[in-house]
Amino acid sequence: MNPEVREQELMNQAESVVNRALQLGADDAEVSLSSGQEFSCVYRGESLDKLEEAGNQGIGLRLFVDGRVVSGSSSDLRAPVLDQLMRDLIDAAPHVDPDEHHTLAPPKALDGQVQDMGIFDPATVTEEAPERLQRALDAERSVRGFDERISATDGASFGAAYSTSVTAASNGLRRAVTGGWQSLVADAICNDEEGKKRNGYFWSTARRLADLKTANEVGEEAARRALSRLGALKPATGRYPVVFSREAAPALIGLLVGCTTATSIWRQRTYLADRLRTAIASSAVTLIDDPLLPGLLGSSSVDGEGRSRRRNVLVKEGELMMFLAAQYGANRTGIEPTASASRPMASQPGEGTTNLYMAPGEQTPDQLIADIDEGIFVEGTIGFGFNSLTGDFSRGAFGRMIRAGQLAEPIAEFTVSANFDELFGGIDAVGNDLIWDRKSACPTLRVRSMAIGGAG
Amino acid sequence: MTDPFLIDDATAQRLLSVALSRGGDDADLFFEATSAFSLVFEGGKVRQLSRHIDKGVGVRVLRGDASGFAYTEELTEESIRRACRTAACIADQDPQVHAQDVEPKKLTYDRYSAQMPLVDRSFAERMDLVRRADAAARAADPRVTQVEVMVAESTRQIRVVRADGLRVEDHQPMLRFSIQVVVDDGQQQQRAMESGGGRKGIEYFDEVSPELHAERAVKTALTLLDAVAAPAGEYPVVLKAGDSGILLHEAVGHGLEADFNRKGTSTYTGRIGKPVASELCTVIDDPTVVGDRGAINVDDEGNEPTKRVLIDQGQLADYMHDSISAAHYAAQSGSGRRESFRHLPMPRMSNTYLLNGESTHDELVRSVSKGIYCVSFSGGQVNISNGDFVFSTTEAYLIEDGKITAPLKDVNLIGNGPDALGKVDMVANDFALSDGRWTCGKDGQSVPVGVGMPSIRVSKMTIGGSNL
Repeated sequence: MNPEVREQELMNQAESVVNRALQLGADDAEVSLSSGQEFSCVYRGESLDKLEEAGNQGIGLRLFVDGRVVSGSSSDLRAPVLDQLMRDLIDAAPHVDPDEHHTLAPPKALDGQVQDMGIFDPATVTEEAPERLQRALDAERSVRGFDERISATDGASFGAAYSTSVTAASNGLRRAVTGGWQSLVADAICNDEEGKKRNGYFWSTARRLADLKTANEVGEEAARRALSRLGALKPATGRYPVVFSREAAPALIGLLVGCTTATSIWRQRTYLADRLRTAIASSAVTLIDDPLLPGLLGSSSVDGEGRSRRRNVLVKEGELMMFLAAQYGANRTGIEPTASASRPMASQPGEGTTNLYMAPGEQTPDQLIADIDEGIFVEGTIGFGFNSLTGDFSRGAFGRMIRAGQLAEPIAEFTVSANFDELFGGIDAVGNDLIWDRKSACPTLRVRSMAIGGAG
Repeated sequence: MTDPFLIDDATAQRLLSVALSRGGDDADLFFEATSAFSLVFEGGKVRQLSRHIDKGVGVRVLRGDASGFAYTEELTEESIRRACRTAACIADQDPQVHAQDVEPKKLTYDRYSAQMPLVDRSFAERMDLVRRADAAARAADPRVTQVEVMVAESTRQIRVVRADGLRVEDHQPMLRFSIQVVVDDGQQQQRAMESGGGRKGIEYFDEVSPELHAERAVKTALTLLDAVAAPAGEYPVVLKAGDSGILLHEAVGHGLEADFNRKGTSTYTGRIGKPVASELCTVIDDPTVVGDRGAINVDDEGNEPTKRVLIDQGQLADYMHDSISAAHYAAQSGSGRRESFRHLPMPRMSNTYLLNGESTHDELVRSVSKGIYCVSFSGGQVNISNGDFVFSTTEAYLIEDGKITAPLKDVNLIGNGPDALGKVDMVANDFALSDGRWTCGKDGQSVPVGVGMPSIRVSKMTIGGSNL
């Protein structure tokens, strides 16, 4: 597969659909096309459990008719099917209300130049199936061979995918991106003395095949995590200092940034609407979205609407510096676009993050817990408890007690709750362990005090 | 109706022979064509209208309990043949099984009740639904500052053709309506959502009108303006009938899907016939409830879905099976579902509910001196291997001295499936199904499901509030 050739083919096809839409009566049109390939395999025990391979394709379009917008998508790319879809949409348009905020980006804003961001590794295309199967098998063997207490697994899997996506629009937008990734996942289960199952899993995902962790590293870490949860109990209900591991912390910054978008303002979905240029977190907190870091899962040089990507500092030493805005949100709220447009196939681009991270501090994770006499170390959260309009946060969690500055016994089945003002305002230290093994990365965080619901 | 798939029976049989050419034990072709329509009304305007077409075929080859899989969106013999060759790679020997002549099977029943599909109605009529909801919400109270209404309808046409010669088809309609409102009293804002639908047409709105949805949402949001922080710690909990069925879905449903048990990864592995809940609990998975969001005429492997008693008066009675686990356990399949032709089927819930008990709702509430009363939820999650679950309330109240009192801010309930079901010590006689709004996620695949239950009392659950 040659990415340039593929991009050109798809772009030609997208341009012809744009032209056809204009012929059929649209005033403006935007067409996205994608085409890709995916592979995955799962080993459980010594047996291959699943093997999947397929190519996929799809088209999405937005048509602008008399100040109205109608959108559609299809996995069937044949011309008569697309013609019928576009005719149906144009016929339906008069029934929609005009919305002056629906616009394509002005042509002068289309300054994005596609650059090589290191997100496509030819090895993702060329690696042969036997090596891939072996990697999953090795990871599964590493789990089962790690300790005789490992009683079962859900299997170890390897997956790889690549795709080319292009967008063409009547405002002159021409955007083409080819990217790929691979991932290796392992899972382990062991039994408590009372028979309760404890599980652990671990994964590695990378744009470059060479950056993937080895089968041994992934398998052994999954096994280690399962074993570390043996005998976990509920902690006692109360208030404690809470340390979020770098595994658990990214969920927090993801929720916060969901409240700093133009869309969240016009939809009335954010507790931060009136908080621009005020303190929303402690001075230890700086949050940055940086699409220009190369080779990462969110790396990108042009946003979904054609603007040149840029580094956005969302929170600087606790102060909310900006709201992210794509074109529609910008039109509705008056916020300047921030080159943060996502690229959904068949709906209006909203705001998305790219490589989102919290700036690291100076202390190691060990130092963050060293002066906690009794506290909670959260290794992961489950559930969805967050009200973006009030900032109230409450989730299930698992992890370890902190006693006399050390990680102690495993704990589970408890909730960790706070309002986000209290949580982010209470962050008194950020670790130095920023590691880009996921799209949003956050070092270990320490929160002065949170409510823990557990036993009693 | 014209055939969207354009592959005749003889061709399908030839393709299945290709799929079995490397020695697979079984193979199937899963054809699917989905057509969807949606409208979004927000801030006084119909702002979005969209149509989506998705069509393709998935090819699966089984060898023992291992699966080879490929799919294509191109419904040509050549493209499907390539997919068959890829899926065949799960096996590596001479052909063992031959594809039989295809025999169509007619279904003798219909579990869907879409009398008047939305798609057949005029645009004016469809737009009217969302405008009516908006008008009702704004008229209900001057503190309403934002209203967002969505109506969506889809039709999923499937055809399964199997190596044993079976060909079966189904047309699965789905309607979903939702309204979200924000209220502002000058000091604070709150929001609430109401939604519903099912395998129904526009006649659904004769049962639950857009106005009724709107008025309920506004009422809940206004109630929440007075909400107080929930306590943290262990309390008795009364779960109101209907929507609380999500507890059942998360706490026990997933652990009873047979794939987890076949692999030895579920907390319910090896426990058939043993007590796993209080004797007051009988749990059913029932795909036959006509018009329900979780109803299906045929599963995505071509088998007939039937009502299963999963837990019978506290004893574990059965798992939910797809064809792989059914072969393993010598059980009946019928619960094999998949998000689309791009995914492999696996055991899934349809409409999971708890049967009535003998207490009354008011007896449950009166019996609690200090506890929590839960009405509705935004979602939940479970760790299958040990049954630990979390779910988040969107409407909950304190119970003090046997009376429902202050509304509570969003709060999480956390517990363990077998443990929580063991602590169900009162079950009321007010069974209700949730109005169809739940979508279940498993291994990255989403499928529509139904839930239901009568009101129940759980003697002790952990509440994740912030008020200590």
